[in-house]
Amino acid sequence: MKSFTTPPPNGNHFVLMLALIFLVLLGILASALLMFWWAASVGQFENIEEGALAVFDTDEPAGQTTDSFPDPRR
Amino acid sequence: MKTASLPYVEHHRESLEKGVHLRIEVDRAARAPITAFFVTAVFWLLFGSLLALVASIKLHTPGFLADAAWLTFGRVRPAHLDSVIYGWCSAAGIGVGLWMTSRLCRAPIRHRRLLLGSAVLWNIGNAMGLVGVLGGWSTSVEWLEYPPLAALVLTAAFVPVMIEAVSMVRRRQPGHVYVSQWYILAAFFWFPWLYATAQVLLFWQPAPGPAQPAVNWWYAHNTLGLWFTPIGLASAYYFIPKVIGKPIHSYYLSMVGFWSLAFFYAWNGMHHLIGGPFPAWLISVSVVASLMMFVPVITVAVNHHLTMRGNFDALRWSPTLRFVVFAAMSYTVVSLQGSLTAIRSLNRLTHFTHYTVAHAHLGMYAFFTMMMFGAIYYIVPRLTGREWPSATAIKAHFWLCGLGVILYWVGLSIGGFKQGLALLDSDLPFMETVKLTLPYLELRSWAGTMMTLGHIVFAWSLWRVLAGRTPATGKATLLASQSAA
Repeated sequence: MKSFTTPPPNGNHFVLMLALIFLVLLGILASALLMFWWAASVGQFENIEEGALAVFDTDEPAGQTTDSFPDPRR
Repeated sequence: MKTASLPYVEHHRESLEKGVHLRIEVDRAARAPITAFFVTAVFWLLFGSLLALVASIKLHTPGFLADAAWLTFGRVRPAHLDSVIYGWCSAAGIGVGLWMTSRLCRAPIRHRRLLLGSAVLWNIGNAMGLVGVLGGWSTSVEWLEYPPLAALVLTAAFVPVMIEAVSMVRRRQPGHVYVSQWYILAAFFWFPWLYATAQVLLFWQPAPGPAQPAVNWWYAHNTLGLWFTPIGLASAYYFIPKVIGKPIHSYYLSMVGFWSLAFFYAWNGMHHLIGGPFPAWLISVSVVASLMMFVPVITVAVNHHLTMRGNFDALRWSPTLRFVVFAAMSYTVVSLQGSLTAIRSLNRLTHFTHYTVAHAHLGMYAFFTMMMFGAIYYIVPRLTGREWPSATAIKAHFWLCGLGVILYWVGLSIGGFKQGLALLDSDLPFMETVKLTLPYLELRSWAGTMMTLGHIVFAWSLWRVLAGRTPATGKATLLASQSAA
């Protein structure tokens, strides 16, 4: 492992590092684009409003509440 | 708890039983690893709160605990930050994220021992890191103070989390991928990427001089936006509709919110370096990207508000919803505040003041921590089959933490604003700018005490549940409707 001391400033190295950060940043953007492409290709954006119901189950359907305070007498 | 009516249960008996059994299996499989993450997270929350109090008191009473090197401000403050960021927030986020993924994929957790090992390793990493910071071996890089060896352990601990998340998504039942799943999967993928990149560029292959703060703030800001924010928003999109039994008002808007966060957020971090020795275009890109964040923030805020409209009375009977709605409202405020603070003229005033500290706590506490409290109140009874011990304790927890963080944010924002004005006044001696913040710093200690008391109440409730000292009613998993049939 290298020492934690900061290397002496070097213009070319600085630009190289910024370019590296920029590349990683572009990688995150690329990952988002990849996810977007996959979602579109498997039909995740079709009938989009119906997707809101995916949070419910047959035994916990829309219209049923699922949380409450414990017995207030305790 | 309001349960399904008997005719409904009779009519759908077969599918209900199948659904209930699957859900019981999902919760049973999640019980050990998720509980391990939650329990240890609460331990670090308490530890981090004590460190926060010590650090806070030192700012207005400098002689407080000043004789021991490991309790000096320069060590206690970063130890507090790392304890709550990695020990509490990240561990709670992993637990909540894995549980929601399991529920939404309808796929039980498969690698339980691996995840238990991950929880153990995560805590070893935190313990190593905190010993390092308090012992004087901090890296001095904000948000990344842990010595690199501890960071290596944390990175290794995250691998099983990613494996299990991908495994559950691959085994998911056919159908739509809900917006919370998008957020969680993206967060589980982005965080190790950010963390490993920052470690390499700062410690293993150090960047030169001015590039270090660029990496530092690229990491710190993106951890907030691409790790904690997605987990927090995923929780809001899951728990609000689930608790009130009403779908999200506009699912389309929720998707716009997710994709705009994914595309815009990564560019934000450099606004922390306004005024620093960096190319102007680099800062300007971040300022513009910060203002672009209005898009996801407003879509999320409008969507949550319209979903809740007509259901605000639920805040009276749902502990989860109290915390989640408080957190969701805080998300709107902190995000809009953050975008505006990125504007150069305002940043010039607020930078290097307590205003920034208040803003950070609005994000990591009022938004994320309160969201995690709400999620844990919902999840733990389902994992354990036991109820929380006391409604009074939950309400005390909510009001102590809610009022505490409001007091903290308002007081320190005003104090920081005045401090910023004073710092820009070249005729004012520097000590005067310090003195004028004292009442606000004392107020912060009181607010922090309230929040810590809230945490103690929460830890007591959790201990009662896990020790089996609360009734095992089964109602928390809605088995009541099944048995009633």
